[in-house]
Amino acid sequence: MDSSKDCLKNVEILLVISPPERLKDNNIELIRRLTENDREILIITSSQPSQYLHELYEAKGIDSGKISFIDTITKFAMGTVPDGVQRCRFLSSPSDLTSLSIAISESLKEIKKRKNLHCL
Amino acid sequence: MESKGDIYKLIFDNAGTGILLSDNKGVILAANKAFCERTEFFEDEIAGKHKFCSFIHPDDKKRVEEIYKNQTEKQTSENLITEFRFLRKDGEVINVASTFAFDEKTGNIIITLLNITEKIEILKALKRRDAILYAINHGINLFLKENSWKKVMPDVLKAIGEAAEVARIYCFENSTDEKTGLLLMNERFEWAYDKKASQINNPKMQGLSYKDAGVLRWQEKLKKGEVVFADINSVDEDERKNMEVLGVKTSVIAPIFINDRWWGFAALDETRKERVWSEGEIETIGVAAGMIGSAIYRQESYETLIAYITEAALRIKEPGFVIKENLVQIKKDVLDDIVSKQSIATKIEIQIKNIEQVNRNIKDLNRLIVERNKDIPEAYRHFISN
Repeated sequence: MDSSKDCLKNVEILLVISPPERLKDNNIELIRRLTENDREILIITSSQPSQYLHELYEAKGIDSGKISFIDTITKFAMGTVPDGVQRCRFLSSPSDLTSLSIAISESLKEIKKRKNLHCL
Repeated sequence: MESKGDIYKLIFDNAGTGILLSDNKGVILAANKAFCERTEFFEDEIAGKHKFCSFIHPDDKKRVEEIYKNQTEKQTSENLITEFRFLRKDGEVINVASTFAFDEKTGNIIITLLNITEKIEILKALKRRDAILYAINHGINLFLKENSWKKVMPDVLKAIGEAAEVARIYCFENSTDEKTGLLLMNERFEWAYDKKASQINNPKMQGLSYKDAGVLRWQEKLKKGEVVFADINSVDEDERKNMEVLGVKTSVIAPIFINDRWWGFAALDETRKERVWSEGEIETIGVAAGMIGSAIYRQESYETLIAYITEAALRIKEPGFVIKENLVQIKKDVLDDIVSKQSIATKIEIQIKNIEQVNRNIKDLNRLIVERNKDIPEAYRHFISN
């Protein structure tokens, strides 16, 4: 990942490609930089539970107040949703694209007034 | 009863065909009403003052003069119809079919002229339509031989542009302005009869909104699948300004659809002269745009299929790979002890779901193999077996 702190400042669309073994670390680093740049973040996750990501970011000292989730895997795998996960929409299946589309629209509406929205 | 002379005069004056009488040197002696109407000359402007051949288009003059000379020298009439271009008083060119008859008694030549301009234009349009269809056929063959439609587009446009005898032919792809939501057009490919007519390197041809270009009318019609015709003399002011900037006199614009998605458009411009497009030509331009859309669709479908096969094959070939990687990660999380047991449990539960999915995939594939199902693509078999 580019070590320059300013590399994410003015971008609107960014494609990040990471080797699998570095995926977790790169994800944390990317989220850290975006939050440091005062970005609002919407994470759509289909392989990692949102609760896990939330705890991971907190443990790494990232301000999770700027992060929202659309979690398509937890309910699918567990059948239930955990308590206490803030700013998260849980979907029943990662393959339900209609529900995903609705969830994205609703999440974007909620953070419409905030500047510098970033979708991951 | 009227005399024969009166009758001939009556015929001469009222014939629907233009008739000229000229002497053996080609000087016009008399012209009938039909001739004067079609050429906008008055009889007294030309009779006794001009040679017939002085009104013939320079490119046809020598040929017609030879026919005329042949008639006067042989002093016979040949039953020939000669086509050539005649110059009207205002300089406009008309196409005529003409006969020359030698009068033995006076040594004069009687010339009849029938205006066939419209017929010639129809024939030219038919020839152009056939040529465009031939170019489309050529384009289809190129697209079928080459996997990348982008690679052959320059050749396809060149073939169609030359066949249609236009100044420029080009393709624009649509995009959307994320900030304003306006629909934009982006020039992707072009052929022009010379470099001066080319616009593809004009930066304004990228990210140009239909609104700013003054062609919202195009947007409305094209998205419905309709072909648009634009003539600088009849379009509204905004559209006219756009045409003036680009030096365009007439355009035909046909939408390109990929399946049911409006991708963009193909258009033909004429910058050098006024041009009347026949219905046949406009239809064939629509067919050309359809061919381009089909080529893009074919390639997109092919690439999607290959991506699907590759992904599916990867999952089947090494079904435990992703799960193994995830379990390594979970082990690391457990050792790091920075996330809750609940999160770890959820991640393990996801791996159980993954294993169930892998089992289903293997079961499906086993069934297809046992049934010798032909739905398994050859590329898939190849990937699995290597």
